[in-house]
Amino acid sequence: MNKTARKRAIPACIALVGCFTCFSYRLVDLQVNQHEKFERLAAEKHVKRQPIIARRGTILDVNGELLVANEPLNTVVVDGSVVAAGKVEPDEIAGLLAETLKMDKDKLAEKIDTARKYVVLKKGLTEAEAGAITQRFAEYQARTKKTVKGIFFEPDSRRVYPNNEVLCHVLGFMGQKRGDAEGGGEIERMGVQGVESSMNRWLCGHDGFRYIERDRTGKEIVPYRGQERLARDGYNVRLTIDMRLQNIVETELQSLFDQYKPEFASTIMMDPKTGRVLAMANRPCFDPNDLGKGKADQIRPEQMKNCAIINIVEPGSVFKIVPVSAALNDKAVTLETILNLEGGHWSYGGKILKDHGHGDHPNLSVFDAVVKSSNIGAAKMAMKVGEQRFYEYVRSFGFGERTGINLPGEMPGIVHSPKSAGWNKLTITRMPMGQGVCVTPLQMVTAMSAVANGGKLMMPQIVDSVIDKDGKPVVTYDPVPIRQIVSPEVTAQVRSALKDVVSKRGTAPAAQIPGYTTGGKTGTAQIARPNGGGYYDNRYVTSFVGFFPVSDPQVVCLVMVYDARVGETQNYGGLVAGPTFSHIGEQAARCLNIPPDIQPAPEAVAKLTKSDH
Amino acid sequence: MSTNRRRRLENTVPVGAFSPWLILAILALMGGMVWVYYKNQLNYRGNEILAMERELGSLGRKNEALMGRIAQLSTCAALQRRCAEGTIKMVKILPASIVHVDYPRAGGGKGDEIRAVSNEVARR
Repeated sequence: MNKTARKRAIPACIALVGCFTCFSYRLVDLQVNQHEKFERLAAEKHVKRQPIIARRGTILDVNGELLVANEPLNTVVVDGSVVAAGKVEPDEIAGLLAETLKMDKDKLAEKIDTARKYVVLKKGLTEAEAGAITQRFAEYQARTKKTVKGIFFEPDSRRVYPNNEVLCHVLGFMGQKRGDAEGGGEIERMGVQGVESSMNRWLCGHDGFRYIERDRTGKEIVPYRGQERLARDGYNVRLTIDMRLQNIVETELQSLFDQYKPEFASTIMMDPKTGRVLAMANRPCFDPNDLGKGKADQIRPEQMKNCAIINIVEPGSVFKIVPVSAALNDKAVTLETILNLEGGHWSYGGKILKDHGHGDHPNLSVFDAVVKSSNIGAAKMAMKVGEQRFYEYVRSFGFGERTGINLPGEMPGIVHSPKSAGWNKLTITRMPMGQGVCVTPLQMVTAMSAVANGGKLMMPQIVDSVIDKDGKPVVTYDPVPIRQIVSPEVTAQVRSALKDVVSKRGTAPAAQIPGYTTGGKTGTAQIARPNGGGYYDNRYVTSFVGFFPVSDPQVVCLVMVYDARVGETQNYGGLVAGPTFSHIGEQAARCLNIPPDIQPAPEAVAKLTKSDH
Repeated sequence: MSTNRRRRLENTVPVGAFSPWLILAILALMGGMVWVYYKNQLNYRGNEILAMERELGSLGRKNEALMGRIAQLSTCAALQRRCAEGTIKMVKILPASIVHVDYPRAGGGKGDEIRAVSNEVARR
């Protein structure tokens, strides 16, 4: 290289080195010194924490029938910054959306023409509607060669209850709350009532998340996916409820409710050997698909109450199974022991206790006192057992404490102890006939189940198992015996007396189930006035709780009606609740394939055979 | 010597000396091109994964919606309504089609005989 060339090259090299030094410095400054700042800025602009919503588990009946399903929905969201960067005007986008979203086009355009990155246009779009919008966008692109950008669908879902009102109190419904205590944070959905609430932790699953980077147009850049945790879908819950029986119970209860228009009515059907609830229905009821929030026909709170576990009532004569079991178990009496019924009027503790409806009130055996539902007889039996001992029996039968069923809001009932102020001189004569004690319908049916199964108090169960999506059980709820209350021999004696309750000489002949030996007890209790003001003269809780077949009870069923609108002469458990029990039992026996244990009368067979031909 | 010839001689590019750098540059270029190609492939496959995920999600959601719909249409109440509307019919099982494999067990006491029609009095 000659001298001139060298002279020229040196400044050029210096300039180049200087230039590269400047660039290098800037590069190091940006990449190293200000790395965190720019990383944060880039992340704010492009990185997003995308939630992966867990699918909520479904609820099935014991045979796998779907009781609660999820309906996928979509929320339409607009990212104003992406729309502004695109080639399609907000007006045009609004035109494409307005019809499906059923919104005013101008208002929609106003919402879309925003600088904000997240504006919800509409919630609750079905899959079909979302598909229609996508189709419109595709057609628009094909027509104009312009792509609509900045409109996104966010997945959402809604609970669907295919049976509407049927089993509504057991299933419950969904509500939502803010994620944190201050009322801020993300909206969290949760079960509010019924199994949706009690099994929420199994049903809800765990939401996941994924950090994603998006390009200028808002599209995810998949290779730059960051940390992620997959969602764990909720487990499915299988109930002990059998929908075949539930439908029978619902139909019969509705018919009773229409006929008598009571304040409320409940029916529970239970397998006495396992404590599994086969059916549970209440009236009034509600449709969990449409709670009618904000509407004129909004659901009233009393419609949402699961009366079978929440309402506490004085049970009346159905409670007499307790004194008779206690007295027989303590060998204070036998079924043949004659009780002095004081001619139907017994003055005790300064008050008169009366017996109703069995002629001139002769003295009766324990057996007949049960059949005729003698109040004085029940009181005398309890007195033979003694106050403290009788109280212990009442508690042993599960009264005064929650049964532990897997449903929220269960009430324990009220049972006063002999040492408490609530127990007075009259209590030992009133409690045996179901006064001065408050129980839930579920407690009553559980107690009768103990009589039906040989004296074992079983914990009522409504959940059979928690299963995964392949149907494999994750948790199984086995029958839980709580305690042996009375001996099997005693319960066999009580059952024999209860069998005659449904015969012609008992209080509930209308409760007899054709073809099956049936046992049960009627209850007709006056409704107490509020604030201890005595009892209403013409308002009653009428009930019947029974079982069949008597030799080996498969089903226990309770029908309880609170304040039926019927004449006083007709307002008895055997007349109001008894027939409904019979209708339910007749259909349930057929459904469960229980073989009849009564031979048909020859004339009935002849009649049936004749009608067949 | 003409000016052109002198310039050519004085500015001769020493190809031999440059060739290792040239090869390095070509290799770097090819490496860069391959990197860009694979990066594009990565993005392309990423988009395919995304599309596939969306399709799977959409199918799952459609399946879920249909399951709910089937459940709604096949509930006891829905079937009863359809039966009442006449869109479905129940076929009566004739007595001749019923095979009796067993007789009911004997039992029960006096007054327990089955009635031909259950609780008709109470039902009325």
